[in-house]
Formats: sequence, structure tokens, C-alpha cells
Amino acid sequence: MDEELQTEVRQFLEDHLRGCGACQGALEDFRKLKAVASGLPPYSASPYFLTRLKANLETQPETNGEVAAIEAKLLVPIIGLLVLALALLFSFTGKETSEGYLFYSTAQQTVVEEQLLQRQVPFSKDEVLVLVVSDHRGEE
Amino acid sequence: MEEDARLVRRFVGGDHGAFDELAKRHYQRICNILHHTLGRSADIDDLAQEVLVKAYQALPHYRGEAAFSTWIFRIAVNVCLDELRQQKRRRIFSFSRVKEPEEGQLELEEKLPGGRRPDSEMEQKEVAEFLQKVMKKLPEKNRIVFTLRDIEGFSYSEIAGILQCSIGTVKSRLFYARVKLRQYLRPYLDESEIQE
Repeated sequence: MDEELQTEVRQFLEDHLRGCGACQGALEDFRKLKAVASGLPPYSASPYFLTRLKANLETQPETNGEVAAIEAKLLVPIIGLLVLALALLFSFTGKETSEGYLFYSTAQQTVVEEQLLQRQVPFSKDEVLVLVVSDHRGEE
Repeated sequence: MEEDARLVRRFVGGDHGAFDELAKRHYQRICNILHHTLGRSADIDDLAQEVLVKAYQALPHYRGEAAFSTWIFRIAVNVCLDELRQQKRRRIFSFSRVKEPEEGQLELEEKLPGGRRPDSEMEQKEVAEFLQKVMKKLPEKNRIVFTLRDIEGFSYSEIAGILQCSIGTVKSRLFYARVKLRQYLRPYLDESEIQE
């Protein structure tokens, strides 16, 4: 009916329809329904539709296609960078120490804290931070 | 005739006149989709203007993943759905208590014209009007698919692109719509000799 069936399915249905009165009736009804639907008159818009549209568009804020397209292209990487920066900021935490403001990752903090617990070393957090930072400086 | 894609490129490049040509090309179908989906309860001219203004504003962000026609008809369908939602809301807050007919059940005044069985005297126009009336009984998703396929003649894949769903979904929604409409129009379909 819609001319969209694959050949095998179409063949199968045609075979079935030859021997099934109920399905033949249904198909006939659907075809009539489609004929009525496709014959519905199109909407008759106002003859001034396009003139009105033009006036409408002139009142819209200036749409600079090229600039907007560039903006759209830049928007994704900018948002990506912002998200990355925020993620970094939240995954690192800082602490004011005698050596200044030190940053360390939460993962490093956990490892060091676990080691301290195992060894039962009574280091303060600031001292641990200094150790972590100096360890990093050693790597560099 | 210049391709839609080329007109879009011209528009994006700063030639705003290209949009006039795009609008001229597609506005009739946009109006038809709105009209057949929403019926007479909406101001189709206003809504079609809204569709085209939205398209104009969004066109610089159109990435060309779908054909321009698919993209703009998608905007039309979204405007349809918004309007249907607003109509529902207006009905809820309305003071008049309108009884919603059960699905599959027609109100007396919505029976075939004159309360008679359809016969050869019945004009095709009357049946067409009756069909438009009973289409309102369909759930909106089915009504939209029926409009796009059986009235506007889009292919399954075009409809799937417009509605952003699978072809299987299109088929099942269309089948449901046809079955329901067949029930409503059965007396007419049984008697008439519609030319296919």
C-alpha cells in the first residue's frame, strides 16, 4: 500500500491476501482511507503570509550567520575546557602551610594517609603535604 | 532550482535574502502539517510564522546532518506539540466543563453529517471534513505520523528523520492511526466508491 515493503515480504502478503477475505477487506478500507486523506485540501494561507514573514524577520535581532557559525564551532571546545578546568580544580585540594599554599591531589592524600596509619607515624597533615610536594620536586 | 543546501550556505555566509527563498519553498507544507495536526482550533498562519522565525534564528546553528526540509519540518512538528500542550493546559484551566469523549467513541454531533449513513449523495468534501474531525480523536503522535504519511506523502524514512525515531516506530504509529480511523469511517468506507 505504501510501496515500502521489501520484495519477499510483499510477495508473502500478496500470497496471503489471495486467500483471506478479511485482510482483503482491511486493505481495501485502508486504501480508501488513504485516498480520502491524500485528497484533503491544502491549507490556504493568507496571501500576505510571506510579506508578513519578511516584516517579522526584519524585527528579529541581527543574525550574523558567519559569526554565529564560528561561535557555535568554538562553543563546544570552550565548554570542554571549562569543564576540564573545573574537574581539575575539584580533584585537587589545597592547604596553607609554612611553605606557602600547596596543592595535592586527593588520591595522593589518601595514599599518604594510609601509609601513615600503617606506620603509625604521628605526622601532622602539613608535614605530610610538605613531604608530598618535596617528593614531587625530587621527581622533577 | 537552487538546492536548499546551497541557499543555506548563502544565508550562513551573510546573504539573508536566501532565507526568503527557503521560506517560499517550504511554507505551504509547514502550514499543511500544522493545519492537519491541529485542526481549526489554532491560528495556523501565526504558528507557521513562528516556525519560520525559529528556523531563521536557528539556521546559523544548523549543522546539515539532516536535509534542510527535514530540519524545518521537525521545527514545525515541535511547534505543533507545544501548541497541543498549551491547548491541553488551557482546557484544564478553563471554567467551562467540556466532556472529553472516550477514545473510539464519537459525540453525537460528530457522527456523519445529517446523522445519516453515508451514501452516494455524500460529497467527498463532507467525508474529508469528517476525517479531519475524527483525526482529533487520535493521540497526537499517531495523528502527526498519519498527517505526514497519508496526507503529506512523506516516506517512512523522512518521517523517522523528522520525528527522530525509528522506522519501526513510524510504522506502528501509522498502523494504529489507520486502524482507529478505519473504525470511525467504517460506514462510509463500506458504502462508498472512493477512487484510489
